[in-house]
Amino acid sequence: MATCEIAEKWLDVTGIRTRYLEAGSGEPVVFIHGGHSGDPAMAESADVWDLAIRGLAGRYRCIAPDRLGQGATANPLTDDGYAMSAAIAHAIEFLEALGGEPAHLVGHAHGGYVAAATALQARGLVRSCTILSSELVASGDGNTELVLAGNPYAPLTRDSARFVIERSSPGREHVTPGWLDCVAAIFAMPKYRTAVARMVEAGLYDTVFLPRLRSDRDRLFEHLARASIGCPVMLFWGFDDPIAPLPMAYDAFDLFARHELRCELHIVNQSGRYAFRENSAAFHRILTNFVENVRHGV
Amino acid sequence: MFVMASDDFRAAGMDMGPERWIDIDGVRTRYFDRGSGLTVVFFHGGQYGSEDGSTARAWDLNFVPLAKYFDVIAVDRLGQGYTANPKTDSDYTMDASVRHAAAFLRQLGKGPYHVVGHSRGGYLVSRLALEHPDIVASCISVASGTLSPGTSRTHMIHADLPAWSVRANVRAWYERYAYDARFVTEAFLDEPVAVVETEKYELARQKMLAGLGRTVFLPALARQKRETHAWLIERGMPCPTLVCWGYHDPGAIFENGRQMIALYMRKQPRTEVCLFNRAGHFVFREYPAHFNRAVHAFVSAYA
Repeated sequence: MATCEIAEKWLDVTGIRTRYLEAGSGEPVVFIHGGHSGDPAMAESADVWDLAIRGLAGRYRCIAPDRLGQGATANPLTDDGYAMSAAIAHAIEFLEALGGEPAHLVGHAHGGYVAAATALQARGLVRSCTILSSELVASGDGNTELVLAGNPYAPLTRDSARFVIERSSPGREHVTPGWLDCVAAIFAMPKYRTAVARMVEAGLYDTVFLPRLRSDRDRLFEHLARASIGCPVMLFWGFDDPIAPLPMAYDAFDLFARHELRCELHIVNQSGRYAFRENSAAFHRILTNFVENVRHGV
Repeated sequence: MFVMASDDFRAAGMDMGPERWIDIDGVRTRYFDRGSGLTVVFFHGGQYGSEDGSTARAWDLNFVPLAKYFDVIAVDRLGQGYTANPKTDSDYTMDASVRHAAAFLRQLGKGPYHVVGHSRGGYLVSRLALEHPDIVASCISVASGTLSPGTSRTHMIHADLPAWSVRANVRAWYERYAYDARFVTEAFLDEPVAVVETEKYELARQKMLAGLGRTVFLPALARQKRETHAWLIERGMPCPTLVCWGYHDPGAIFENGRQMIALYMRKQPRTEVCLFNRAGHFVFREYPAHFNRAVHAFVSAYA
């Protein structure tokens, strides 16, 4: 599954065998993918970052883990482990297991929420926080249900994933066969089928994941209303994001900017959910500028 | 990917080099030109006789650091700074300012140009790109309330300026328009104050006050602003466009910026937005390092 030049590595993170991709050297930039475990329509994983790692490994140590229960990383050991809070705890333990050098976090969609929560809960491990196209860091639900409704393909198939990606992003060139191969390989893993059985058939998505996310997210918003996230923040959005429409980016910016001086919003045109892939050259340039501004403390 | 080095952008002694002069259709025009490479041209804001006394030196914190990487040019716009006033009353318009800028660029014979404009200058560079696509490679529009839909708050924030001295007046004008006003130093104010005190600038101010502002400048701007919006909807900017804004701009409020962004995005796929927190109207002076990096990377990407 590992893409060439990029090393596939494994770490034991408090009992969870965790896969991650790594390339390059320099200041660590840790990429946190989106989605959640046991999603039968789309399997997000570290592989979504192949373009970013290739584009940025010349300057930074790029690290991208598979989140708890996603990609090739092991499933949670308990039902409680299917909550987002467990994914956040796993992300923090992963950063510690790496050695604890403060990193620039870059999180996409649900991973953007993980990045923000990690920054808040583990300040010493985070130098900056970049959030890409995330409906979880602004109030409101986002349009996932409506936009992805009517998927004509069977769950756990490559076509189902392609439908999800194409519905949520106007770009096409970023939907590479290599990425879809990775998604199909994850769908085929017995452990992924187990996660789907827990989240969908046993109902953990509705009884554990969503209700806990709701209250955890309210706490994040309450914090941001009175204090900074604790590090510089960059938001990066596609102008045509159908899932987290642009007004959500403005709302999120308003929330993070209230108490954090070092807050930027960048918008690129004709891209959606995967703006960082659809418009990868602009993303790499903008992220590099942001990280350099943080490094030099300007 | 090459990234700009970190300089101390607030360092004193931002020397833009010697003043240069060029005759543009009978209008003696002052400009600065340094460095080599891609050509980046800066256009300041303000208008004929306006209280800010804006000049090309508004850009010194950007011009000097970027001169290490590009051929940078900054010009005093028609009737502003030390550039001569329009030859006729009917030329007290933004359109004449755009025509003067285009003639200036053509006469320099360089390009294609990466044009950067602030406030009224953001309107100017957008029109330059739309009307002269053959000489414009990319466009960076900074806090251009002039072009954005919605209503501005500049009249409110600049009402009741202190009248006891030109310097106090100019200082208050900048301070009220900024979020982080630390850049409004005595050294910074020297040139705008000197400009406001020139005879030709006072003449332009009197002309605008006596009626040209109301009967010539604003009606023409209103008409051409509508026209520009129609062009942006119908055909869009012809080149990559970066829209920069300060989130706390007290005059050109970002609410209007949001509408402006939607207009730029409509037809030009290579449109980007860069929004900075705790920045006012002078985002390029309030956060010069961030601004310079954004300009450097954008211009390099669309060389």
